[in-house]
Amino acid sequence: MKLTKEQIAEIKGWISKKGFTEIDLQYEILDHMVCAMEELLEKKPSLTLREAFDQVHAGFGIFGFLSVEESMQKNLSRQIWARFKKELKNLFFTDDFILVALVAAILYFTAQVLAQHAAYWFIFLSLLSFFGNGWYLLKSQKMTLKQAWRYKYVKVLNEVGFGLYIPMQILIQFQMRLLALPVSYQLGILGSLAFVFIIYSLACTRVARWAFEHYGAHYLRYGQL
Amino acid sequence: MSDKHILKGSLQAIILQLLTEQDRMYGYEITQKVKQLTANELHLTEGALYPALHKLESEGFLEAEVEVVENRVRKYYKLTSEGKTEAANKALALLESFRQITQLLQIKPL
Repeated sequence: MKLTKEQIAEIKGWISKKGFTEIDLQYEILDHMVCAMEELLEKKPSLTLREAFDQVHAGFGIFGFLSVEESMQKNLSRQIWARFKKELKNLFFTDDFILVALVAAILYFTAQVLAQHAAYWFIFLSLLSFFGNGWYLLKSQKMTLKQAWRYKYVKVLNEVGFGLYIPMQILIQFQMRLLALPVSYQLGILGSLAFVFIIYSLACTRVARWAFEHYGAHYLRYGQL
Repeated sequence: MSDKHILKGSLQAIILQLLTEQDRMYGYEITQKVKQLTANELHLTEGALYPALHKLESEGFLEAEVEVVENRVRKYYKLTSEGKTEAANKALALLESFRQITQLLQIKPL
């Protein structure tokens, strides 16, 4: 017995009421339920649609659809973490790492100067902001290879700026305590914190980009059907 | 250990093996195929099948494609090239385990 479009829509409503959030899981479960219900109604035509639904739903166990959704969410977070680890690992073997090291070295020497002349921070932060804005401008245009490299450089510099922001905040919070330390110690602490945040921010950016592309394509296919 | 536990441990190998025989399959089709091949002896529960399918997909062994069939969206699974290798490895590992268990069970008491 084949179910009609209206009956399928009714079943979809019942499944949605169970609180599903993942669109592809909703469709997958709907197809499974409809297949199983069609077979059940073929064998027992006296059953109502709701009775058939409840019987098939019981086959999912005491937790119903919940166990399937939980496993799907676990897989999503497993995928994201696997990607994060991969990106973190890749960062140490690509030209990005050399670029980060280079920019970090330039910043380290700049910081040495800035440590002596606090007023230069204004110029330094203005430059960071300038490069940050440049990144957004470049992003919206089609680029040549040379432009692409420049885009990459600006992007890394922007991320380095972001990576420096949090350690700087920490430094400000503990200013009194840190000021008692020699300047080279302070720069060492700042540098180490900045390095961790730069790498973290680069990996996060890459994972976010991958996730938008991957899951975007994944979910958009339902819109085309 | 119940039959359920043995089946759960072999589920991924079963799914991969079924997909090597058939180009692409959807969830319900897999449950029916298992029933048919085992003369109604084995029943794959949905609560075990779908998590296994999603795990194989997230590990890159399966890829999915969707299409509209009879007024609803159907998700088909097919093996990736890594999935084909994994299917052969898992089948071999499972057969080897069964061979060892069979050998162990055939030991006669002195």
